[in-house]
Amino acid sequence: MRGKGIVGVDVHKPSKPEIPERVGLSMLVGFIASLGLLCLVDLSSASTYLAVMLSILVAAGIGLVDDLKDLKPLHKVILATLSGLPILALRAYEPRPLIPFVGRVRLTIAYPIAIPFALSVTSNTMNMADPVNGAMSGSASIIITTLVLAYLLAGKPKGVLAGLALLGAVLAFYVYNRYPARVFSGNVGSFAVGAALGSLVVTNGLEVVAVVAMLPQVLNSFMILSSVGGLKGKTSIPVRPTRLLEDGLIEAVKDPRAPLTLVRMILASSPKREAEIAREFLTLTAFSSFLAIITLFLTVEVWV
Amino acid sequence: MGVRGTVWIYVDIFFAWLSMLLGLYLVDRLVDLAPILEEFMSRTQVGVVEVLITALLFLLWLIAWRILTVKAFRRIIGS
Repeated sequence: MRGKGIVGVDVHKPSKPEIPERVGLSMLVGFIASLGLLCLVDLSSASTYLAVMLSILVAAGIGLVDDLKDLKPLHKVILATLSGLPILALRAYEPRPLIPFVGRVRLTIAYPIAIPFALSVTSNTMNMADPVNGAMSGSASIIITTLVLAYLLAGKPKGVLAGLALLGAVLAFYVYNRYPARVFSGNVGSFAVGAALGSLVVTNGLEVVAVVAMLPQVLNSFMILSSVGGLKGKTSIPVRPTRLLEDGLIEAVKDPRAPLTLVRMILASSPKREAEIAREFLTLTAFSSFLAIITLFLTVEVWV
Repeated sequence: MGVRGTVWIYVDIFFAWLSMLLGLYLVDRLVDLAPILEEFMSRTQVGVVEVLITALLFLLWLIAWRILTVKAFRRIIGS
């Protein structure tokens, strides 16, 4: 990527190094290879693995277009709904989600309608949750590990296998993406990871458990959207949420016009180094993942 | 709020999780009320009422979470 001039500036370091960009493509190759292998090994569930694979491919394609053309936020949200279509076309979903306390609910009409929107939400949420080195890939690794554990406890082997297939690629990427990053995922990577998470959950269930595990990412995107007043591109937001100081510390901007991001919240009390912010991001995800496992235990039917 | 560092974000996420569970519990109670409601309304009307109340609870949850988060953030950052 560096040889082809596909680089991004690491803005949170005083030396502003140029880092190879769009290396998230390597995750995509990992996803396709491992899910393809699962299709061949576990023929009875091949349509599910194929649906996950195609969803990821569609989302990655949208991310790649965004990398090349810089799509408008609204266009990204609308286009990302397309990644739900392979799951609908292959009917790789169970329209009876398990809800804590309530139990299994029948949503034969609402569930398939919600799938494209759910995939768009997870793709765009992970795309917005990549502010510092390793935040997106590290938090995705924690969330997928939690889901694998949840599927294991709930006796869903298909979910365990698909989750492990996705986890390998994300973890391998995290090794290179963690602080100090040697590669950046690009939108192609973050969209692919978001679709991977969304399609894994839609095809295997435990939706509420996944939402709880993703609470820091949901908090991040919801607060950004509500503080800037809807879907807006970086250029139309007048003030950046954080500022790099000369000594390498990053501080939260006090201007009330700045978007309320999770990183700005982490920096609210004092400036921090990028590595500390990344660690805090992952610790928050680990905390919500712990709550997600408690949520699984409250989902009564799993244990009956 | 008086809480320094990042502890307040953990509290914020914990509040979101707890209130989400409380909302789901209320929805569960609502479903239990369906047979009583069906004495006054048709089955379809009860279904519509259930969906509307669930949507209302979700909106209230989002608004409460936003208010709490923004207030805590402003208190910590001091602006």
